[in-house]
Amino acid sequence: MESERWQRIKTIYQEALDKPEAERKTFVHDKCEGDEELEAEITRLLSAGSGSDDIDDIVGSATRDWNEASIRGQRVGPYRLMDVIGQGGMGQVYLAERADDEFEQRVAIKMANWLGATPEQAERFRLERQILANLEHPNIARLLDGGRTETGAPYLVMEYVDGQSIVDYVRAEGLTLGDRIDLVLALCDAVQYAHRKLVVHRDIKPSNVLVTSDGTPKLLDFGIAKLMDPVGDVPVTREDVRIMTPEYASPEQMLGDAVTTSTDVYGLGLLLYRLLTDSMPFDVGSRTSPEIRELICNTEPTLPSRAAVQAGIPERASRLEGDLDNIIMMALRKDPARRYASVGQFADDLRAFQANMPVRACGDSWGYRASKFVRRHRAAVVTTVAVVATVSLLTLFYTMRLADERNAARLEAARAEEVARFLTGMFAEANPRNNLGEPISARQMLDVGATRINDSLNAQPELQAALMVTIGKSYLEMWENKAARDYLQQAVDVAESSLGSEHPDVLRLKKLLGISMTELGETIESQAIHEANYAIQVRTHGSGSLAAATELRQLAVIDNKLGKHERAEARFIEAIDVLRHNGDAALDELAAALLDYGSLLRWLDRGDEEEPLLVEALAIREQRYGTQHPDYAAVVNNLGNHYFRRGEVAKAGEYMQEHVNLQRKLVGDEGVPYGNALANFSSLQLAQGKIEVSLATLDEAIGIFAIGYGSDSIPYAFALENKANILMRLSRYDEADPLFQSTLAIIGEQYGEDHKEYAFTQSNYGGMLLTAGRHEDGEVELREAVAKFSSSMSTDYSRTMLAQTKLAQCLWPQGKLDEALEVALAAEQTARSTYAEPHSNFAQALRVLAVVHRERADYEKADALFRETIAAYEELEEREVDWVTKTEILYADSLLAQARYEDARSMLERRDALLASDADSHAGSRGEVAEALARVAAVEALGD
Amino acid sequence: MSRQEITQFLERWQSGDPEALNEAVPLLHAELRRMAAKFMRGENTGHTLQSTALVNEAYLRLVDVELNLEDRAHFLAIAARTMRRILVDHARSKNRQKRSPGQPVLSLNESIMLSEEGDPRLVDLDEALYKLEEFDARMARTVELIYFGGLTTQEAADLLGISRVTLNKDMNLAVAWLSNEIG
Repeated sequence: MESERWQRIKTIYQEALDKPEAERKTFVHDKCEGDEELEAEITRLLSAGSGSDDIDDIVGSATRDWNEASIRGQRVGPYRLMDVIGQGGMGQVYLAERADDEFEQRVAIKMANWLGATPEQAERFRLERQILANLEHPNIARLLDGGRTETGAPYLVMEYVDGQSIVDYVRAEGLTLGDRIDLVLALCDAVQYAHRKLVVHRDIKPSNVLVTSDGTPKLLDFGIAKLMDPVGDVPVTREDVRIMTPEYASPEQMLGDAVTTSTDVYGLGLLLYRLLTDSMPFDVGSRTSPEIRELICNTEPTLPSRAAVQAGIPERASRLEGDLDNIIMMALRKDPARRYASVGQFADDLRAFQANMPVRACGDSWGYRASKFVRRHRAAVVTTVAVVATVSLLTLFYTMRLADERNAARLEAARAEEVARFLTGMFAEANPRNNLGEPISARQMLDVGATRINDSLNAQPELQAALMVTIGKSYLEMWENKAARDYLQQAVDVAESSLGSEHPDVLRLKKLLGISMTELGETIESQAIHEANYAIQVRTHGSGSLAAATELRQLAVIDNKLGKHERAEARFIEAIDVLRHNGDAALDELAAALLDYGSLLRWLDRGDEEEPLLVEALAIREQRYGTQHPDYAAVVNNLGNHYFRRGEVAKAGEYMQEHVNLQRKLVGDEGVPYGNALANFSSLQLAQGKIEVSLATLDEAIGIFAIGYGSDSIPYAFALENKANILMRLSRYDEADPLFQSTLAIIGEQYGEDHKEYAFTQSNYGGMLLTAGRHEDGEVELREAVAKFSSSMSTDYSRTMLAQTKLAQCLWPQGKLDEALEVALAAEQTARSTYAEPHSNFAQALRVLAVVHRERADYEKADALFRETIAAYEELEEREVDWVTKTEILYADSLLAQARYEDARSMLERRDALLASDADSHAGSRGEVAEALARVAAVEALGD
Repeated sequence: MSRQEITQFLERWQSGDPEALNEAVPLLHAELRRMAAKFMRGENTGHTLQSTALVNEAYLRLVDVELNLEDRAHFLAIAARTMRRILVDHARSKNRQKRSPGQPVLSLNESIMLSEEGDPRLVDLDEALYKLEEFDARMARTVELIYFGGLTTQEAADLLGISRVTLNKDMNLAVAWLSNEIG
């Protein structure tokens, strides 16, 4: 249809609806202006009437169909579900058979919910089971068994009643009025029996009564039944009303008043009304809850005889008029005290009616008789209670009450847990490890969550603290260390004041606060926090506990940062040992500790010892998460880096390539971890000499970080610095310079300018300035770097020394020889005390000092150091040959200055011969040697 | 699957990412399917309480109660669409099973055979709704929200940004048209 035409139909149709029905035809005819097709269409629509029930029906039956299909075949204990047969107050009812087929037994299984029940539901099932276990009556469906499913959902196995709803049954069988009353009488007997067992059904309605093919009615579903308070009343909970079908609720249930046996009198009265008049006393229809309440509590029901006329069965009206009207209306009185005092009395009247005897009930006129009724009811209530009250039942009652109170508490806890799970999940998703495409929105979400929790959960400190833990963790995962610290500081205060300082969640918050501070370089404060936590955990759980080991690991990490490497190592070893003895629960922490210990070993330049730790961590994570998981990938990354550092480039390449592939699969090619993988891979490519490729790889990583972490983030800054370092190697200093500056700006903002990482970048920047020949600029950066390194609590020797050697090299070309000497001597001293074994850093420190001595014309010292440097390089791996050559050239310059031409020449010629054996890989060095030899010749010629 | 994921999708959807809806539907689908076990034949056979109750339950289970009215309506709109897809898929697959060649023609249990048959009326309704959508998308959406999603007329009106009076008028015509179409 064209939309223009539809618009016309719409307009005319809707206008027509506003007209009185009689005028519509003419109106439509006029409006259609002779378009007969249009007129026919609109007329057809107008006469279609309300098909909304049809659509309701179609959707409803399709839904049922679908529901039932998804249930069939599922196992519950030894039973196999076959079909859905009903819904009770607290759960669903299934037809099931024994799955073992040992003998054919069909049962009805009632279950709360597949996903496990709330404590409240579980309690109700327990109660129903207890109630049913005590009820054995031919008109009550029997309890056969009960248990819990694998998921913890409680279920009850009941006698399967192969029958139909009492309403369908009486209609299908065309039962007479007398037969219908007999059915209700049988039920009265069952309810009376239950009352004698102190059980009130509370939910008597047609769907809870099935009639078997032999005509036996069975009362089902004691789902909201309650044990009576023998003293009188059972309070109604709001929960009960929610579960109930409002149409069948009694006034006292609607009002939340006490429920007594009288409630069941009302229910039976209602059932009888329904069976005898084919209608309900109140037309609930689509009314709102307040309207329904008004109806049930204050509106007098239509007399059954009148209702029968309205329902189109006038022949029955005459039978109903009089006694039956009175009996039913008496059972349905609003005030429980004015109904029949017991089901027995109600049944007596029905039997009297059947036998044409006078009945007790009469028209509900006010005055003398009414008050007499009331008095009699009261007496009857007392009598009934006196019969059933026993000491043992009183005890049971009080037990029940206590259980109810506990339930209330548990319910609250369950609700809180529910919310916690929800938010935890929400934040777990927001954490960049899981939601790598969109860390920015994750951060925003986190901020919103943080505020929300502070504002709205003050009344539930436990829940609040649990969520604070989650939020703090998420900030940390997102590298938002500052935000994490600020948030956690506040969170600790809030949680501590409401839960005390030793509550597990408070300890967790403190631990996270410590971690964030450690990350921010606030190691002293962080240490104090972890020390305190550790003491508490040891006192509470023992030093062999997972909780203690977790804190110990953090302390070790801090020791490492503080340069207390020995203690760090001892603590790591202890923590790892404890964690290994704490089973599967400790595996995650163990893997983390192994990795942390590995990084300590790297600091100690004992990186070679890291391999077994990484291999173990990899195995743990594979066991825990499989190979397609971010935590597994992280270790693959570490292994790649490990082999890379050891110079096993080929092996490193394998792991790094695997890591890149893994991350692309895990997070897509915009995910931050993929960016990290690329960044590392670019270093490898660089080492392989593929400089341009490396640069391209790194650029891709930087692009990812800029969006993923943000262009003011630490990882982004580090990537920029890597790029700057590569550019420096390509002598593209002008491009490298702004990158270094951006890096410094970001680190300064995030960590502060006194932070070690800031100093490290300054040192690298200084190195570039040195290489670029910008000695004065280099001096500024390197001076600061050296000062920061040496004033920092954790004296980072190798970094300090490297900065010093670079500083010295910036100083002497400016003629600042004394200062250069001072700095170079400090570097030498550090080198000698740090390195027991030959190391390139050691050799470099000696070499720089030698050069400074040479510049100061202190040739004796210079030459000795040159020789020592060369010896040191020669002890190293083959890849240091180029450095030996460089040093020898420097040494040759020194010899040259002393006019020792022959010594210089013979040394250089020997070197050239050695290099010639592998000419291809030393082409550059050979060129330098040749230049040096030419220089020797030139100076010698001048000297002569 | 789970409420976290769905909530996350919801947040993304609200913040303007249209893809989130498509991603959320299969998840919601799974959740609704799992919850189906909770919803059985009701008091009166043939009443829609079923699907709307399911959607409302999904809402209660999946979304934090603190969501405001508008967010709730958004969620219910997704749920309504999902519910419709689920039901139609189910009905179609059943009809297909029944029609597929090689199936035994006779079943030992006639009643089971009957219940295995999908409701062809739903497929008709679905097709009619698509037709309606072609020339009056808003009206089709209204029907979906109310019948499959269980929104009240007020909620649906708020969601669509129209008055309740307009919505009721729309519904009158939509239902009349659909009844004719599938009748």
